[in-house]
Amino acid sequence: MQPPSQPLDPSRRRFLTEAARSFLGLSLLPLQSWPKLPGDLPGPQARKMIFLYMNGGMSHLDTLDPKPGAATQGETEVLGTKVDGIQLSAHFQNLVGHVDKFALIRSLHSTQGAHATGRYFLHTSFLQRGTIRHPSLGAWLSKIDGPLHPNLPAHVAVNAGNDTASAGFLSARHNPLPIGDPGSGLQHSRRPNHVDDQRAARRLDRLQAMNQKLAKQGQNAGTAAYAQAYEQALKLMQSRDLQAFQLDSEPQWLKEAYGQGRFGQGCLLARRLVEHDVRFVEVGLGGWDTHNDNFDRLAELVPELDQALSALLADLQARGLLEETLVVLASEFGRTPKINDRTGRDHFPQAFSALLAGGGIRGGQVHGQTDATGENIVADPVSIPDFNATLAYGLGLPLEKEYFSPSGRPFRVADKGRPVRSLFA
Amino acid sequence: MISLCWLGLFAGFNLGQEPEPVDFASQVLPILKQHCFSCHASESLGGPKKAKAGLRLDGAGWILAGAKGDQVLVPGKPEESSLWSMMALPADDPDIMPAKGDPASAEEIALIRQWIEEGASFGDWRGEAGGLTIRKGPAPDQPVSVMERMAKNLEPASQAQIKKAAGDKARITPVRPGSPLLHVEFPHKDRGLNKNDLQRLQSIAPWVAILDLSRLPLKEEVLGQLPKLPRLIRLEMRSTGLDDRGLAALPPLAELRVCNLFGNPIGNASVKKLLSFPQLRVLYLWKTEITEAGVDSLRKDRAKLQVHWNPKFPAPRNPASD
Ligand code: HEC
Repeated sequence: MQPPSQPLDPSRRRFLTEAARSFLGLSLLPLQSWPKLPGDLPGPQARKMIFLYMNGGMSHLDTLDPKPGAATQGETEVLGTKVDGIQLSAHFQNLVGHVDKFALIRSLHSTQGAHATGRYFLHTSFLQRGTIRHPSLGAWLSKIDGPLHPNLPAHVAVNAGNDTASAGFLSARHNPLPIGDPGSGLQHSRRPNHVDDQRAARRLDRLQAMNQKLAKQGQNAGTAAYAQAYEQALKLMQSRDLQAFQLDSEPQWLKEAYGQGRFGQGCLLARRLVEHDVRFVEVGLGGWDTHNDNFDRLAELVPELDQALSALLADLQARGLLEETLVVLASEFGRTPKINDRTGRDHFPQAFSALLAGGGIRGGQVHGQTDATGENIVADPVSIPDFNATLAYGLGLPLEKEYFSPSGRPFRVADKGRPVRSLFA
Repeated sequence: MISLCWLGLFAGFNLGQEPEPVDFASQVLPILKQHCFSCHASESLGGPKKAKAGLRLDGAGWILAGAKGDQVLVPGKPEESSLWSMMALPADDPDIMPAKGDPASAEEIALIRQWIEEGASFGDWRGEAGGLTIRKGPAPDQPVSVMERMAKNLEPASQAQIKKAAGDKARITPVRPGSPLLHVEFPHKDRGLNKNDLQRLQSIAPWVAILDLSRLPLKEEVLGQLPKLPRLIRLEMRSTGLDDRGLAALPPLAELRVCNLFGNPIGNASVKKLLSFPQLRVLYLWKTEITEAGVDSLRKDRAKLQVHWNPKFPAPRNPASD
């Protein structure tokens, strides 16, 4: 007979350690059947990113970090998932079924409690000081790794305000191409009918001559970048890949699966764009600034997000695109667990949540934890620079390397942030 | 003290009962409080300003975190748990814990051993968590993925080899910064792909880990020219028009883990070919002609294979009804 002190086999031991930690919510045991054990699958390999930016401050309690039973939870109900210990707001009826694909960070914190500064910090890892403008992650990716597609832009922003994603001090060609309404494709990119090829070519020649003159006069970096932008636009006009921007060819059932609103259609467009090798697509969804009527408003907003995000994850995975596309959902800050007297929640940068999927992220895990009220981080805090460093690490961007602004000051992609490597398989 | 623990277990067996599992909060915690907290707890619980050896025993998270990265508790393995073994040392050993004061009794030590053996459950107890950060996952220098494992001890390809392989069409980059493994793709989809483009990869064959042929027209004659790629981990062939004969033309790929065949006219005739890749773990088959029966036979043969072929999309939402 085996004496009781016989050591357990390693897998059982691992199971027990994990189980003990999972009880504590420190890290969660992935479902046994998933093959994503360390050393088994490729690991971090993102080269594209879809950034779903929740503009206005997304309440963590009503979305990714609910606190069932707490007085602060309010009216928002809670749903469990296949993974023990991962619960979401009950508004995420579809998303709960995708828990194997995503990881949560429940210990984000920011130093900025106002929208504009918080937004800037989230996008750049820096505080806005003086006249310097810092590049957002999409611009860094465009600068460091370059475009993947010969004609399409590397960086696109859908439904995004114009002060979010930006090239900052990098060349203007790393600015995102803005798309206002995802349903109507790329505006001004189709040549008017009365302009034939020859006339278009003549116009371009004249433009180039003008630019060259300007460039000679001032050797102005801005002029060169604009010339490049025109050239890019012209290439784009002639490219058959322009259809990447058109949603017409998508079947009606799929459009409905994403949700017919701007955000849903924006997510569908984002999938088309990464499918055509656009590197970075930001899709914005506003309406999160729920100082009043938090619960009624989120009962509308979260299902819209749930629909689009769930369709996006299913669609990307079914096409194999999730292997190399990092999908990230984040906001500039969370909202107060304490409910104010207008049944609203106010700005709360002390603790909030984000979701990551694809690009080598190991799904079904939670990093970090808040206490029973959702007010304090009790494990594994992640700062905004740490968060961006994590995304940059997934994308294979150098974190230590210094890049110099035109004024000669050194900057790093995520400032001094340190990546959370354990999120990757 | 070991025999005590054995006795306890055997007594249980003899009576035909399950031995009562040790309860952390009522049985183990008092022992730690009495003998250890004066040095291994926060100040508010009677501990020193700075916990000795960086080890705190006043919270479940802290106990699992160990002493500055050294694990002190391995559930199920008392011998590897210094939490127990340092208490169980002979009384005159300079390393015995508690470092000062009365040693724990044999019964107390046995109880801790039993608790660890049973899996070291904390029950509902959590204790202190303030200030806790735990590094999870493998240490940074440990290979975490196939990609890292295969990159080990591999000299990088020379620039000349890479240039030769790229010709005027392929874009060849490291899979990750600093990795010798290579990612090969053909960005100009409208220029198509011919035999030479794939033959040329011969000069970098040992380094190709990801090959992306998506959205290029793929024919049997062309794909048949693909050299054996001993480290190919991921092969992307979505929307290429590839059929069963084309797929059959692929050489053996010993390390292939991920294969994307989305949107191709591949049928059940390809099941056998797919099963010939010994390491295949993830397969994308949506919008192919492979049927449910085909998918079942794949899954039957490979329990660990993930097949994505029938995605579940959210049902359309009713417009808000007011
Ligand atoms: C009088 C203070 C004191 C008491 C009481 C005490 N310890 Fe310690 N403990 C120490 C010191 C000091 C060290 C560091 C020893 C060294 O590094 O040489 C230490 C180290 C340890 C370590 C090793 C940590 C490592 O580095 O891996 C363990 C485990 C430990 N103690 C467990 C206990 C347990 C269990 C108790 C109660 C039964 C206890 N200690 C009671 C002072 C104390």
